[in-house]
Amino acid sequence: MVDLSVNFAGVELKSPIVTASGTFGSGKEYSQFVDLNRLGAITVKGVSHEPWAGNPPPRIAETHGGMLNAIGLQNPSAREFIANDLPFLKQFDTKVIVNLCGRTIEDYIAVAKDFDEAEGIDFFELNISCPNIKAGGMAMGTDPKMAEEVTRVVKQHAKVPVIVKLSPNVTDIVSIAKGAEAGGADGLCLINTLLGMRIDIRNKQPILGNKIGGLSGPAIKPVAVRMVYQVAKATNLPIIGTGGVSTWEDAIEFIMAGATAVSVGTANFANPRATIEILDGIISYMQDNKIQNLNQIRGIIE
Amino acid sequence: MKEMHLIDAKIIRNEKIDHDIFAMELHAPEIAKTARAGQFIMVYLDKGELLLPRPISIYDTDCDAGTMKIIYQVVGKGTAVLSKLPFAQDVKILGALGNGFDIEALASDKPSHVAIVGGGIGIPPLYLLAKTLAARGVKIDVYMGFRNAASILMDILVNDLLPIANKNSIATEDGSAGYHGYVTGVLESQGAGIQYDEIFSCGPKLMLQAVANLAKRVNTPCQLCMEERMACGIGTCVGCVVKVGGNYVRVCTEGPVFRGDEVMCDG
Ligand SMILES: Cc1cc2nc3c(=O)[nH]c(=O)nc-3n(C[C@H](O)[C@H](O)[C@H](O)COP(=O)(O)OP(=O)(O)OC[C@H]3O[C@@H](n4cnc5c(N)ncnc54)[C@H](O)[C@@H]3O)c2cc1C
Ligand SMILES: Cc1cc2nc3c(=O)[nH]c(=O)nc-3n(C[C@H](O)[C@H](O)[C@H](O)COP(=O)(O)O)c2cc1C
Ligand code: FES
Repeated sequence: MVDLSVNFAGVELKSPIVTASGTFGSGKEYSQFVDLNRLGAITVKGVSHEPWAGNPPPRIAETHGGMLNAIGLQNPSAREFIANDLPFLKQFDTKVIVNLCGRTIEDYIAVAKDFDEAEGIDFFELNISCPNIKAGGMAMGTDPKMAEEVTRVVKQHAKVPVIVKLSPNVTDIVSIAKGAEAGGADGLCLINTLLGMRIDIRNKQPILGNKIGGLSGPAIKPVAVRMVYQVAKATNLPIIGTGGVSTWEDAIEFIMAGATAVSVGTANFANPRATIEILDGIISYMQDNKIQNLNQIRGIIE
Repeated sequence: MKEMHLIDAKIIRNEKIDHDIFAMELHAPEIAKTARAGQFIMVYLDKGELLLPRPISIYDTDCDAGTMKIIYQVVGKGTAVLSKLPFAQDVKILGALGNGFDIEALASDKPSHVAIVGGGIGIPPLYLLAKTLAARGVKIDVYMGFRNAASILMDILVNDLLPIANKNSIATEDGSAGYHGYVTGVLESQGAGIQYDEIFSCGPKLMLQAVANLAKRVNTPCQLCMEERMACGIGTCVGCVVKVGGNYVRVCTEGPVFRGDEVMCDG
């Protein structure tokens, strides 16, 4: 038997496969295709203190090997999430990562406090990188000082470990990662979506209602692997690697680059059973290669 | 929670019925058994660079044979891939998805009289609806709009619908068959004076808007089947929204059928 468990910031995940925020809802729908008990953690869709209306449609555009989205973090608020979704998740023996979004530092504090009384939460994941919200996320995720500050204030109010999710839309990802580390982050998740755009040449209009959106899927994987590799070398924080993971080979690539866990996003749309198929592939790979624990290959790339 | 089935369905038939319109029949007993009119399936193309599944309405089901039928138009790369899938191959599908038409909205204590209004490739979900309503003894007037008379799709639909419809009216944009103009025009002229209990419609956005306006004017409840770009098809990505009562709601989950007085077709 191989040992799939991983230690992430002092919390044991039973497997290295996690779901990516915004692509798995709160797990309810996918629980019909996937045994949620086998996942290391479920990262739920981004929640904010107040409800967010989201962007005008169209919000989705397919691209070669990927997709653009401009959802605009539509969500009914943390309170609604706690009332309606959290009870469902508590039935499962897996960890819960709550993805937090805000337009200001105060928003982040408010949403973190919304969870003061909530039970069944294992981590916060700070989305300081959502490219869709013009006022907030973008700026914080692209400046090391801002990243440090928002991490620090949320840490002060958080009762669970805090993962900071980084934006790839920066020149130097390492400097942002170090900012989050200096702010007291317990772990990192990277990468969020890359800003992109598509134009309908017949209508001479952008396809997305928001004009620009975030690129995800296999098309972004090499960028994500490179960033995980650079950040793993430069910080001491555990990393959830994400970006285009759709096969077990992709997951192993991220782990060799230095990721502790791997999250699966867009692949859930292309194959609702993707998470479990990836996990089964990792098990076979470990058995075939006589790997007892993924630590044996984690970060082996010099 | 709604029953969804992710299955590998065998292709029993996949053939061209008009120059860019195809009919596909699939062996999918689980879906055939539960599907309601107005629901749709996600079709997984399993084709690397074409990542996302394609939403397609359920045209017809046969519970005894365990089969279902879809009718689709080749408009891009995904539907082109679909059109080339050979007989007997398996295709992964997920369904039945969405709410479907609300048939319970019709009074059960008296015979109902309804109008079904469809435009072009928006007609597929309306066939199963007509069939279901006919089985309940509902009197159905069908209004269909096409670009021109040279549409074989039109012949097929007319043939399929003829036996169940009380009245079958056609409009063509070029006047080559039936009423000259839009389908809402023929509904307005031929339906004048009829107090329908409900209007059901599916088709291009502009047509749905016109149907909604007309329904409002004649004070008739109407149900519109909407389309929006989708990624997951099951409610998790919040990508497929339309505005209902000032809020964005998901077409794949709260829809695709919405009440005409609630949904804003223009955005
Ligand atoms: C609920 C629902 C039911 C549908 N039922 C039918 C049907 O019965 N028959 C039929 O022919 N078509 C139907 N459509 C439209 C059909 O899904 C699109 O024509 C198809 O996805 C186009 O894919 P493509 O790769 O050929 O085109 P491309 O334009 O290359 O597609 C690129 C992307 O855009 C999306 N897209 C393109 N056009 C549409 C559209 N009109 N609506 C939603 N997404 C779109 C595709 O899904 C894909 O993600 C339905 C759409 C929805 C939402
Ligand atoms: C439809 C959609 C919604 C997303 N919503 C969120 C979100 O709410 N919060 C967040 O931090 N990331 C969000 N993301 C980013 C993903 O979690 C992930 O970081 C990114 O898509 C890259 O991984 P992938 O290629 O596996 O999808 C979203 C991505 C998609 C496609
Ligand atoms: S397609 Fe994802 S929510 Fe409707």
